[in-house]
Amino acid sequence: MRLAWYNIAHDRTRFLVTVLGITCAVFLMIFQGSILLGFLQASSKIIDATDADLWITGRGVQCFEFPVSVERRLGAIAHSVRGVDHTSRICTRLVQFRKTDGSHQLVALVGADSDVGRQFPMPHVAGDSTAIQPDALVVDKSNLELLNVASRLPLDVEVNDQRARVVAETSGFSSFLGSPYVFTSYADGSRYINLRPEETMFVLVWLQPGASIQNVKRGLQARMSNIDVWTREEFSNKARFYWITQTGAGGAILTAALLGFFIGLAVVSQAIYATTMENIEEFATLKALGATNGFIRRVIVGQAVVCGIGGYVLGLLITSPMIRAAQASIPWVAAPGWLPAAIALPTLAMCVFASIISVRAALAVEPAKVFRA
Amino acid sequence: MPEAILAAKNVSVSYGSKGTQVRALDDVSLSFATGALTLIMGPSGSGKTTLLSLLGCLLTPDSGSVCVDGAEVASLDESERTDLRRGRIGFIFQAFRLFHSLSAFENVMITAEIAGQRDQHHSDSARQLLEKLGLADKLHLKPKALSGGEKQRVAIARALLPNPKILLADEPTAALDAGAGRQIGEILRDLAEQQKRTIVVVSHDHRWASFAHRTVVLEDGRLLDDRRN
Repeated sequence: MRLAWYNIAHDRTRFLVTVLGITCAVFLMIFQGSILLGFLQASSKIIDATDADLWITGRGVQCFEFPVSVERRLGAIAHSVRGVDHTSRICTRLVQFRKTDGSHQLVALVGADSDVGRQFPMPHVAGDSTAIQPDALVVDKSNLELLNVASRLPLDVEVNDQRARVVAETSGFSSFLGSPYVFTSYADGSRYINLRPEETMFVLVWLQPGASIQNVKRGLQARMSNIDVWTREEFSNKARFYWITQTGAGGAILTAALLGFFIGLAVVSQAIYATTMENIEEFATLKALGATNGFIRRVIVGQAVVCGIGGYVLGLLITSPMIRAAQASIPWVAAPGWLPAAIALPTLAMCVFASIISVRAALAVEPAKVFRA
Repeated sequence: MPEAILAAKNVSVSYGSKGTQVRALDDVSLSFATGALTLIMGPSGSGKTTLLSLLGCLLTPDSGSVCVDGAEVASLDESERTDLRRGRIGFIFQAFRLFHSLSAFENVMITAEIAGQRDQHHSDSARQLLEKLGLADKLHLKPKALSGGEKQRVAIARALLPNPKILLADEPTAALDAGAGRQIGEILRDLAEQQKRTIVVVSHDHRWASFAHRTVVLEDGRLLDDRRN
């Protein structure tokens, strides 16, 4: 495809403009993709950090952050369902966190039984993974400064006017809500959020070995009313779907990622079409010389793909430091290594789509045109 | 009488729609022998270029038939006509039609690339053709750095690379000065005589008569004269 390369290399200004357009598109797709992915992961992070097989929630609950109270005895009822091994509880609510300087910060307090998951942040007693410290809190390291606890730990604070102590930091639990997650035991958590003794918010269910998850799910639904039962994966996906589709933030991020694709499509289409029309008589000559439609398609798509590769590489070079910079202020922005590779496919698709109009124009040209001076 | 490799039989072509229809060719029959350079002359609008387009399989007649190297063009589909053009016919254009982004060498090699034959053999042939045509030191120059005569010689080399039996040239010297025009005329006549190619040249220029073995004159789409020189 020398002709493709020579055609675009011949007009370097246009090539540069096209490559820059694609670079912007690639940057937008990767950057917004990172934000979207990070947003998705963050929106179900708490659910995914548990080891539970099933989650029992109040009827209609869409995500972890907006629960409703359910009866605490659901745990005992669940125990009686065939296939259930054991249950645990989690509660959460936005509460006031009083910093050491006396100022307040709204935080999402999460209280959980100690066995909800090995990855779940919990104020364990040092050296004993089964013992929980009383009145103890764990905060994500990305929120240490916001909560004014960066200088030293442990540190005495107040949660909902009750004494508490930040004893440890965790990582990977940065909140996308603007209110940091603060983790504690279920006993302390339910006390801090003033949950009534007969209430809880989420009941987590573990299955006996060999039990059918769908059978147990149906058994729990049959025994209880006004609740929903989800597998962990279902609840995780439901939460992600909720945050992406039902909130302006998620929608905006998704739209921006798609916009990147369409901006790139428009830029490449315009540039490739202009190049094709500028060289339309050369395509007539090619046809007269015996070039097949396939050859002409390859030339035009080749031009678009060369531009795409240039824009993609430049886009990657620009995006990596930008994402690192973004992560400094928005820790939940995800930057998995596979994302840039995954964006290569839509970039390629963008270039091929962009060539379609140009290919049609070039194939429609009359080869007999070559005889007109 | 040498065998005809190229023939048009009772061909008619009209352009435009009813009411404004123009008859570009009207029942023209011609055949072209191997090893001869035929000059087609006539005033503007006489149908010369239309005839050349028919002979080059770039156009199909409204009636009549065109036969290229034994193949009845009307019976071929678009893809087969493209194959026929690529393998049997070389084109030389008034406006050269060189690819502005390619060097002289790459312009010649484009026909090999189109045919999927970009190999050492064709590369050597392209170089030899350009050298024979006096362009040995211009291989890597782009068209804008070449004179009109040099551009046309590159176009001739490009047309010759696939080793076609037929060469169709449309006003090949119209954009050239007298000296360059004479050089192109000599090259094409030699190609006909020494390499036994069938060459059809369309031109307004009477000087071509001195290079042609035969002169055909068209007027208003009809054959006015057909004489051997």
